[in-house]
Amino acid sequence: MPKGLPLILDRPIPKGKSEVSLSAFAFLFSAIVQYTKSSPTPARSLTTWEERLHAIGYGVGIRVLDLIVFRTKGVDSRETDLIRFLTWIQTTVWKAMFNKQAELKKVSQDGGAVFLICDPDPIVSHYVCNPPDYSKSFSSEAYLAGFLAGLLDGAEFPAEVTAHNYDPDGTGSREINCEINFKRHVLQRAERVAK
Amino acid sequence: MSASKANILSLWIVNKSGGLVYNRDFLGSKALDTNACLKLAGMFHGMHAISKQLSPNPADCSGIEVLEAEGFKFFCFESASGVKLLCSTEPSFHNAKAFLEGVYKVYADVLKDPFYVIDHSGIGQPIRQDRFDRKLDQLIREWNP
Repeated sequence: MPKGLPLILDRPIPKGKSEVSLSAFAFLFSAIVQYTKSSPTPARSLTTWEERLHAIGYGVGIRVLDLIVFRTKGVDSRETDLIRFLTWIQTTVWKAMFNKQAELKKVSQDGGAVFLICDPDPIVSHYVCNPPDYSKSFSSEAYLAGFLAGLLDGAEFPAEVTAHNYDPDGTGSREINCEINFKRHVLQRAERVAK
Repeated sequence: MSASKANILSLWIVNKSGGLVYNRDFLGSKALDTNACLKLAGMFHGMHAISKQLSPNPADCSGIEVLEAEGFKFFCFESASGVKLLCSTEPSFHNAKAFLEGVYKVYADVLKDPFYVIDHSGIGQPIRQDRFDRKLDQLIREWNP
């Protein structure tokens, strides 16, 4: 072991914010989008392409969860309340990752409540311009959906997350709604805990 | 910010192999059709290369920068990557270099789009992005009051 070099395990975990240049991330994300299209095998459908982006986002979400929990002051135990965890994602996680806040909406449906995390202008895909024939069917924000899925899975609230572009007036709005469908046992558990 | 009524008339972007990547007319003047623009861009690319060699000090020459004619002026800005940004302006316009540098910045954002394909020899396809057009609109409003 070379003397004088600090072991990485001896160094303190950096607390506080570290910012990354948006351009650097944009180039990285652009490379990720192109990579997922053609590797390891050419994606045969837009759905496969989105699933690959989802998988990459999932890996990020799982790892980022512990980091952000560690950096959040005043958190000393695992969050077990569903709504509070979602609120924490919408505020703290989005602030740590993208320096802004998302919105949380709840839509009641027959099979149980569905939650939406809405971001009016997602930074990850800021520079992506979908060609006209893709714009209705492909969204690179599948990466964001995977990110959320990873966060939720890591915190023991497994769910299926999909990203949809919300553009009711056709104005070309880039708003993204991430639809969170919790697994049934999660919702049942939340009801039991609430009683 | 230009104080006089000098205006920027049109903008061309030529990639490093001489192919026209983008062209736009700002005053709705009688536009040349695309094929004519492609040919002219290729010819200018060749002339630009020749001009570098004509210089008494070819290693230190950046090629044609300004082309003055009776009815207009034509400016060329060559980036480090070989992409040429060309614009034609009113004859009274002084120096379009600042404008072209602004366009270059907007162009750099185009390259962040995964759907803008650049092949192995570094040649890009024509730019067809709403975002680019919008950003250019914003920029041109500063220069064409």
